[in-house]
Amino acid sequence: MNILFVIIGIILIVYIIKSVMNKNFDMYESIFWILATFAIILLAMFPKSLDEISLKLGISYSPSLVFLLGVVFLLFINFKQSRLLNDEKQKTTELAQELAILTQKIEEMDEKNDKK
Amino acid sequence: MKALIVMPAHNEEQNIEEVIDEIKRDLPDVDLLVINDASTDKTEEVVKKRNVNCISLPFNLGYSLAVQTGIKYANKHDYDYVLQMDADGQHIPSEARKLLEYMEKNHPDIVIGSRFLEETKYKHGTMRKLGTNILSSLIKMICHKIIKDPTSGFQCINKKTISYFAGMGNYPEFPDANLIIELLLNGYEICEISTNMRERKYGTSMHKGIIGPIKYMIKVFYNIIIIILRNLFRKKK
Repeated sequence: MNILFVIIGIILIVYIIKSVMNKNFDMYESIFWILATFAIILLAMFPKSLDEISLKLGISYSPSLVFLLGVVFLLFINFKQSRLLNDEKQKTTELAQELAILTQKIEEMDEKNDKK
Repeated sequence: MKALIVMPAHNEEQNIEEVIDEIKRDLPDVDLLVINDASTDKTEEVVKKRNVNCISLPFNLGYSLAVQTGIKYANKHDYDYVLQMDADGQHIPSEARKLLEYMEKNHPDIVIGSRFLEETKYKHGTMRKLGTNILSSLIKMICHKIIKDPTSGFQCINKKTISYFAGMGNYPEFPDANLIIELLLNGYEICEISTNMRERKYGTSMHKGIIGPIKYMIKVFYNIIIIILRNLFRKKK
């Protein structure tokens, strides 16, 4: 058992949950990070299980399994954020267009009022 | 008939004055709306001085989203037709009259002002001509319809199309052959009539350099593939 990594994992989980409590972090989004941190803690607690799993998956060098999982996780998060970004971009565009149309309307109304 | 000219403008202070005057002279019965796409020059000032309706975007959205802003405005104010015209003076107001008249007579959903239907004075670079030909033959292959100038931004659209385009995400970043294919596949009627166009007087075109147009073509192609897939999927459903 690797105490250091268990402690790091626990600190991370506390930090994530605190962020969610302070509403700095989206609840749904945080679940993935908590799961990833759990995985770190579990691996730190049972380091031998890693070797067994790698053996079963046909990976001869077990640390590479860790890298593989890490990369897959990061790619997944990256893809999700890419989609989120696109969503936000569309919304920002919509807002900018609405704002511009409304501003023009207000200016028009102001002009009419001034003439009266 | 209630028609609106939507004219997106980005840093066009040199061109736009003449264009506005010409429109006021040749199309006095049509409303004009300039979409100032966060110009850094005096475009907005010039337009407002001429007493023309002007919507200023808070930041640069690009050509197509500026056009969409105008279409949204038209949708809100219940216009029957929207005429898209560029602010650089390429599109001639008296030719725009032809588009409107054709629209009123034949009631298609979209009329495109085409440079290549007949021999016109418009000069075209070889690369651009090649690109246009490829896109045109793609439309013919997929939709069995001949549109000779799918890249033309000189268009007139009716109410049905206005309300569709006004929806969020319904107007693509590159309204080119992809948009035409999408509309044709969805049963919209698109016509093309021959119009003359001028060369721009000042400034440079959106499609300049080598990498820009290549990127543009890739995006348009990609969009077409997505549209075809979307359509296949919808039919199966």
